[in-house]
This record gives sequence, C-alpha cells and structure tokens, in this order.
Amino acid sequence: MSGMGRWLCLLAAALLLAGCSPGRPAPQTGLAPQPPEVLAAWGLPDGLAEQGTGNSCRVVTGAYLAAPAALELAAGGQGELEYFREAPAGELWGRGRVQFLSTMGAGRIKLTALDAAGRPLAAAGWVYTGPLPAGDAATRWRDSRYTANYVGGWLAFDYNVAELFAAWPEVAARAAKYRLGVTVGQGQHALVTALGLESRPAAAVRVTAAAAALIAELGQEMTVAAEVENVTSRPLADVKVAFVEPYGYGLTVGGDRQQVIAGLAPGEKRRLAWQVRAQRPDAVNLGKPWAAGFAVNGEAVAAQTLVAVADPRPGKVFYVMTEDLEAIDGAGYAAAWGNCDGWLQPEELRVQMVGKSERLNAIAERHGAKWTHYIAWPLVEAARWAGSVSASGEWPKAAEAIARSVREQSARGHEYGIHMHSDYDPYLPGNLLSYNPAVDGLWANHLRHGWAHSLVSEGNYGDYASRTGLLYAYQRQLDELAAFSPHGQLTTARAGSFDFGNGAASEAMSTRAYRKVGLLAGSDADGNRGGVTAGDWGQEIYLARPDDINARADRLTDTGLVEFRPTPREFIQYDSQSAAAMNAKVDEGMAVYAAGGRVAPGVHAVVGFTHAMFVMGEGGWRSTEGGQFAALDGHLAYLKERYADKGLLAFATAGELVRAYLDYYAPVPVAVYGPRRSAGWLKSEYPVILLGRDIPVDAAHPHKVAVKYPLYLRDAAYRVSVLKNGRPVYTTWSLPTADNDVVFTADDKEASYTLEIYHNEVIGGALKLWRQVKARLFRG
Amino acid sequence: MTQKRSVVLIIDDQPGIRRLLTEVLQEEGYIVLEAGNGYDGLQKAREGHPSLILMDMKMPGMDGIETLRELRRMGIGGKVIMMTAYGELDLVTEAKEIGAADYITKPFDIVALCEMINRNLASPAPSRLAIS
Repeated sequence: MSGMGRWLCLLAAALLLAGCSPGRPAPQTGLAPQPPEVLAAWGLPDGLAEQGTGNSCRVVTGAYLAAPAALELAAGGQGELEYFREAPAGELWGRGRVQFLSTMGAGRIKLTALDAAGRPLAAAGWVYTGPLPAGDAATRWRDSRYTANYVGGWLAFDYNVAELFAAWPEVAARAAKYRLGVTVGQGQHALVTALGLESRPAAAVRVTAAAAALIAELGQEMTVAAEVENVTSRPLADVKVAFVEPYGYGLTVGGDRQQVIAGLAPGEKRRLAWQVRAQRPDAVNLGKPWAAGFAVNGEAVAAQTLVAVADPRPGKVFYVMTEDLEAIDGAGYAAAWGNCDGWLQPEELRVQMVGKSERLNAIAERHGAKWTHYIAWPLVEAARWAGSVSASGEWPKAAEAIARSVREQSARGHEYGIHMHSDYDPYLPGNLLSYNPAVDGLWANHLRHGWAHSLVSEGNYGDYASRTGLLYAYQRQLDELAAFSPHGQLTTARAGSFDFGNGAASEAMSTRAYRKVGLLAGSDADGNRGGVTAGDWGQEIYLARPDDINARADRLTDTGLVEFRPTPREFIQYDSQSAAAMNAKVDEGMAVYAAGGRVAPGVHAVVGFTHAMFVMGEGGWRSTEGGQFAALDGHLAYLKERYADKGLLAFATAGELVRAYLDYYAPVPVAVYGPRRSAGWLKSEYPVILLGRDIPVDAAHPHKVAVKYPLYLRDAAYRVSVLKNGRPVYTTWSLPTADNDVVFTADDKEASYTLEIYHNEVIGGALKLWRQVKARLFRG
Repeated sequence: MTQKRSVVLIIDDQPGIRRLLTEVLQEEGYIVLEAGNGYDGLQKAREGHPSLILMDMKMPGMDGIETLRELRRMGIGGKVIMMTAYGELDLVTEAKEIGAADYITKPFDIVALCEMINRNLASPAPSRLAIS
C-alpha cells in the first residue's frame, strides 16, 4: 500500500470512528467572518468612534444571530469602541437589536441630541454592563445592568426619540440631528444585528376622524373631515395629509387627495375636509362598510371613518342552465339510458353528446334562453384515439360531429366550457383506454374520473401532464371552436367529478392553473370534498378564497375564483323534474331576490343542472321528443312569461353571469376579450371589455390591466397590440408571453380598447426560431 | 338596580348598513334586532316589542311607507325614525302623517343618528294607535 493509500485508509477509519461516537450534534455556534468590504454596508468606517488600542470590528454571519449578519464589536482591554448611526431631527424612532457578550467592561446604548455643528446637547443612555457613569444636567443614564450572569440575550429596542427628550424641550427645539450608538469598552464584546434611527413623520401629529361612521347612498357626495393636531413641542411645517381611498374604490375623492398644512404650531389643531363620493356599494367590500383612511406625509395613520353605502339601483337575476356534456360510461347505467352493452360506442357518443345537447339548445332558443355545456373534451380525444384502432370509421365521424356541434352551437350563443374528466385522455401517463373490436366499444378507468387528483403538479402551458398543461391543451381547442361565439373569452369551467382539488395547497394550485388559461370562475364548491354542490338562495355565487373554493373570501385584497352553484339546495334538475316542480323552485328564488317586484341590488342567480345524456324523451334512449324535453319547454315558457318578459330575470350563460358578477363586485378592473370583431389572414381583432362598472377609470385612476389573448393563437401570434380609440397604447413582439396576456394602462372609461393580434404560424415559428438562435449566439 | 335596555329594530335591505348600525348601537348599549325587509320587520316588531324602529324608506317588496302603515294597523307601538335619501321628501311628509317620529337624510353621521335615537327615546312614547 502506498503512503497515500495508508493515509486515506487512516482518514476513512477516523471518519468512521467519529461517525460512531455517541450522539453529539455538529457544532452550531461558529460565526463566519465576512470580508472587510462589507463594512461599508454598515456605514463604516464613518459610523465608528474609538479610543485606546486593541479594538476590533468585523461583520459576521451565523445561525446563532437569527439575522442575515451582525457587526461584531470587540473592545481592547484598555480600549473603547462606539458604533453609531445618525439622522436629521424629525419624528424619529431609535431601533436596534444588540447582544453584549461579557460580564465585565462597558456595555451601553446611548441616544444623543446634536446641534447643527455636531456638538452634543443632551443624551439619554442605558448601561447594561460595567460601571454606571455619573449623569449630569445634559446626560441621563438608566441602570439596566444585569444582576446575574445567566440572563444575557438579545436586546431589541424601539425608542420614541421625542418621548426620551421630552424632559429637555429646549434641546428638542435646538437639535439638528440625533445619534444612536452602542458602546463597548474594556474588553466588552457586542453583536449588533440592527441599529438605526427611523423617521416616522406621522407621529408628529394626531389625526382624528370627524365622524366615526357615515351612512350614504351610492353616488352621493359627502364631506369626510379630520382634525390634525401637532402633538410635538416644536412647530411643524409642510404637513401633507392625504385622504386614502379604500381598496376596491368604494369611496373616491373628486379633487386633490392631498392637502398641505404649511405650518402647525405645537398643540395647534387644524380641520381638513374632503368631498368624497360614495362610488361603490359596500356589498362590494364583502358586506362591510368602506374605510376612509388618512395618511400623513405618506404614512397611513389609524384614524378612519367607516362609510356604509347602499345601492338604490335594482339588481339583476340571471337564469343559467348548465349541464355536464359527456357520455354514459356504462358503469351500471341502465340500457334504457343508452348503455347498450357496457362499452361506449360511437352512436351512443353522438346521440348523447350531439343529438341531446342540440335539442336542448333548440328548445332554449325558442324562449330566448341559452345553455352552458361543460363538455368532457378528453372524451373527444378518446374517440379520436379509438378511431386510430377501430376499423369501423365511426369514431372519427363521432368526434368530428362533436367538434362541429360545438362550433355551430357556440356561434348561436350557447356556451361550451371545459369539463375535465381526464381519465379519457389517451396521452396522459397512468391512464388506461381499452378498445373492444367485437363491439367497436371503448372503455376508460372511471375510478380516476376527476382532474386534480390525477394531476399533482401545477406545471405550465407546455407541461401536458400538469393541471395547467392539460387545461391549456383542451381549453385552446374549445377557444378555437368558439371563435365565432358572441361571448368572447371563455371564463368558466367545471372540473370532472368536481375534482378541483381538496385542501389549501391543491386548491390554490388549481386556482392559479385556471387563471393561467383565462378562467375566472368554477362551479365545484363543496363537491370537491364530496359534499353537496348546490347552494341555498343567496349562497349561489361568491368570490372565493384563492385557496378554498368552498369559502367566501374574507379579505378584498385576497380573492380567488368566482364560484357559482346550482340552486337551490335541492336543485333544479332538468332530467327528472316536472315543469311545475322546476317552476316552483324558480318562484321560490324570485321571492327571495325580487320581493314585491323589485330585484334586490347586486347580482343573483338561479342555476339549473343536469347531464344532457340523462334527459330522456319518449320512446327509447335516442328520443329527444316529449318527456323531459317537453318539461323543459314548458318550464322555459313559464319563466319567459312570468319573469323574463317583465325584466325581472335574464336568461344567460354561465360566462355572462360571471361577467355581470365581476362587473359589480370585482375589487379592481378585470379585462376580458369580447367577441371576435374581425379575422384576417394575418390579423384578428377583439374588443377589450373592462369589468368593474363603478370603478373610476380616468387620469386620476389609471389601472394596469392584463388581458389574455386567445389561447389558440398562442403559438401563431407574433405581435400583439392594445389600441385605445384606434391608436396603439401597447405593443409587444415578445410572444408568447409567460401568462398568455398583455398588460396595458386603462385610463379612460369611455375609451374603446381593442386587442389586435398578428398571427401566422410560419412567421410566428420563424421568429421563435430566430430568438432561440440569437440567444445561443449571444450566450456563446 | 339595573336599568332596562331599550330595544331598537333596524329594518333595512342593505346588509352593510344593518351591520354598521348594529355595531354602533350595541356599543351604545341598545339591544338591536335586524330585519332585511318589511315583512321580516313586521314579524320582528311583533315579537321583539322594540322601543324604536329605524327604517329605510326604500326597500324592495314592502317599502318603508307600507311597512309603517302596516305597523300602525297592527297596533305596534314604538317610535319610528325613517332613513331617507334626497328626493324622497314627499315620502317623508307622508311618513310623518302616518306617525313616523322623525327622519334622517343620507348621507348622515351615525353620531347624529344616535343623538336622534336618544332624544326620541327620552321623550314619551306614543300611545298604541291603530289606523285603518
């Protein structure tokens, strides 16, 4: 064995032995010195004063500090070292976090008032270790010395400078600046993780709202006043007091939000008033009164006036018919429903997903109503896959019939949102699709008939086996098929089996995935945890928390998707209830929403639910005549005559309901694109719709707004512009953008904003390639 | 000896206003009942025997005037203060004729309303009256 080999063996043996020694953890206490250059970040060397010899000062890091770094001060046996920070006189707070390490030697903290020449006027200090210096008229020491040597630890302090010097009013008047210092002497060591004088100008005044609470009606102007008092012993100049509009734009100020008090003598009070408009109902503020706040020199103060704002305008009730558009999967369903032999066949697919839904649409159209279909698009992919293994030629025809139906029916005003039964997806890892040539039948694993539980990662557009990726893959197809829809951007979806995810982390992930593809709303509340999805009247639609679709948001600054639910708790079910039963349920809802013939303020909904495949006619499973189709016809006729024709109820799609809801309740403007205005070989145009009708949008209230461009143009788009009254206000060639959106400033409510998308797959592809080549060249 | 606390009934269709009034009046020491519409208000008035009723003039369904008329028809006593907006002064005259004790016009400071409530509760309550 070579010499080197022997040494390696010895080292290995030593390491093994060390590893076997009983239970002592690795040392935690070491501090790592940092290079001298970092001293500058601590204001050194200017912020250091020393006497004697043997002193040292360095920056260290280590877990012990519970802070990113500390300044370590070590005084020589006969030395003394002071680390200090200074700030011009004002409303100052001295803050710091210090630890003295020795029982002996001087350990002090001192706050000193200095005149314009830097001469000390007075000082207040605390002695933690060492002798207590004798005080005098200009210096006061407080004895904070440790009485035992087992109590040392971090000293965190936050001194109000004005209070400390209140005993020296003449000093406060003459002080030009203040100095806060940590002194170590005669061998004392200290660690300083923070030290400074912070200016809090608002503390110089006391602001008192003139009224604790006001009650107003929407659109009313009112005076909101506050009394501003100088609570210092010196005159104040240039005190800027601003009215702070609450988040959500509930109260707005017509003129200047900020008023300036040129001079305010000690103890003087001044009353300031603003003309405030009740801009939005307090229902927008989650039913709580708006808080009118104030700020002094940019710092918010505690004073506020609460303002409850009533909305005298009648609200709207929307009647939304939803159904989950999918085929009977054979799992125990009766043959009478179309389950011929326990396998899914092309004809079943066509009848259940095209024949029935189109018949439902036709009945709705007779009465001016519209359907919202949540289509299990993975099933269409499964049909296409079956076409690749079947010799019958029927599967591709069935898949094409569905696509055609979605395209044509969307153009007629019905809505097709995505319904994610991802078990049908032929490309998703872990999925099973079985084809039986004997019956030309298809089968999937319907015990994985959801979405979130099959897709555990959030991913992105390109990550197929992720929540975002799969949503994108399907949503973009619907987006393209709905290009001729009068509604524009698709904004709602229903997860397969209500499987939106259960639990905060999973639901937050799904919320982000929905938003990424432009979805603003869902309809899975409570179903996502195995509960009843339907809701009582008044509980049918709300802004959910970002991490919990089952709970209403409790902070306006932190909202998630709009959730809407079938109504009422025993919901309207088109596949099983008589017209009279459905009518009675709507009557019950209208009695709540529109008592006495006037709709209560806000946005309300009556939401029905079914699966088209379960809606049966008379005379066999293919029938679309009589039976529940007739019941629906009678029901809609009743609603039209009793409510819609009187303006008490509006037939709508889920997307229209959600837009109306956001238009009323969104805390900040939400932009969506409207129906396609024009489409050419290279360019498509969409109007941009700003939701948030009562939110001011003007020069005083500009908004950065993000608007998605259609998902199906993501790969082909090479330039996107936003036009304001026909003139570009934003243009980008850097496409696709990370969130498939563009951000522009909206500053005029009356302006017409347009999304202009230049798209061509060849040009878009070439530009992308060029960017990749350029990036590589640049990197090289 | 403990003093009996007065019961105030708020009849207003706006939840935000009911919430604010309830908080403030409870802080003032009143027992507060709430109703979101006239029908519910009549029910609560019958069961709760309020000393004073604060009622919004404009409500869907049975509005303030109708509710007041019904209160009187049912012989329910207690003073009634109407909350109104500008442009409803003709309704105020009508409300006073039916027996409203006072009215307050939006926007108003809740302190002014509290003073009005205290003033009205300090003066003798009207005898139970019924109108046809």
